[in-house]
Amino acid sequence: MNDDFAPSGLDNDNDAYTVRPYAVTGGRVAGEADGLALEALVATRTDGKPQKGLTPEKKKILHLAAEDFISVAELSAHCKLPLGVVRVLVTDLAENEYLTIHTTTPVNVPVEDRSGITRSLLESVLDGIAAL
Amino acid sequence: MASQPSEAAVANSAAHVAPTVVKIVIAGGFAVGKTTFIGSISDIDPLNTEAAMTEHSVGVDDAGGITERKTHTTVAMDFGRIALPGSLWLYLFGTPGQDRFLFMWDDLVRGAIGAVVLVDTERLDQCFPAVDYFEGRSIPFIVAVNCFDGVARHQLDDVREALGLSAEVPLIYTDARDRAATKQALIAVVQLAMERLK
Repeated sequence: MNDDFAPSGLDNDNDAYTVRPYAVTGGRVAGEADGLALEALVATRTDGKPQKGLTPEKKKILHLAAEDFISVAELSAHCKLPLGVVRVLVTDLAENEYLTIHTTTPVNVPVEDRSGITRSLLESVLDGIAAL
Repeated sequence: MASQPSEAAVANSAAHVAPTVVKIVIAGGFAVGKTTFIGSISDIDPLNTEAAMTEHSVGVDDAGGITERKTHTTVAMDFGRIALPGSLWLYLFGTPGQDRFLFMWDDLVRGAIGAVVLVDTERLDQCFPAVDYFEGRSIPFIVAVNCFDGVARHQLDDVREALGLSAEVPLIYTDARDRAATKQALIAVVQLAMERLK
């Protein structure tokens, strides 16, 4: 663990996450970020702006998403931050053109809506699992 | 390796196109083996994430008045990821174990291919909420009886009757520790989802 990326206010004990989530998001609550799927993929923009002045949490997200695409859920796990907090931070970083969000998961539709599940997609998944 | 100089370049160019993401939900009661199931086939060690939420509770204060309190609580869930050919990433999301967080499931289930409901025959009732949830929303799901010691103590017909499962719901034995068994369970879910398209 690079100490630069430790949540602010944290000592050397990575397990003891003591910063209140609202402090990390600068007081923002989910709102628009609510719709961001757990499996939405995030990638740090290579033409990104200088990260000077960003919070350690945001820098850590950009670092994690620089290698390859990474999901919101994975960011939450690696940063040891609740999902809601990561959603806010990711949405914020995307709005400020630090990263891109890639997702096909529908938002604001009933759970019953299965319009995104196509036969060709399922065939690819089936072939893929069978080949494991 | 030095003999494959193009690998990095390939990885770089591939990184511009996001993988297609699909997900399957792994549900069931507390300690039924969801994380073991996910871990048996995931490319990455199962990760744990937390969702913070606010619960409202009503209590009586010292002066005898009614007070409304907000308590912050967190719900933990485990998940894994499998890279499939053709730039497909399959996520397996375990549901939070406790029934009282059922409302959170919408987030997990929206857009999912389907679900595996893991069942421990010693605690059949624990999977009732999951079965009810998926039935009520017409989400394709299979029920997989986890044989902890490789021995099935119950006939599947008896389990089907006890759970009140309709004949259309696939019911199989599985072993959450065994990659091949996990694979078969996932295949069964995808096949069911395909049948539902007809």
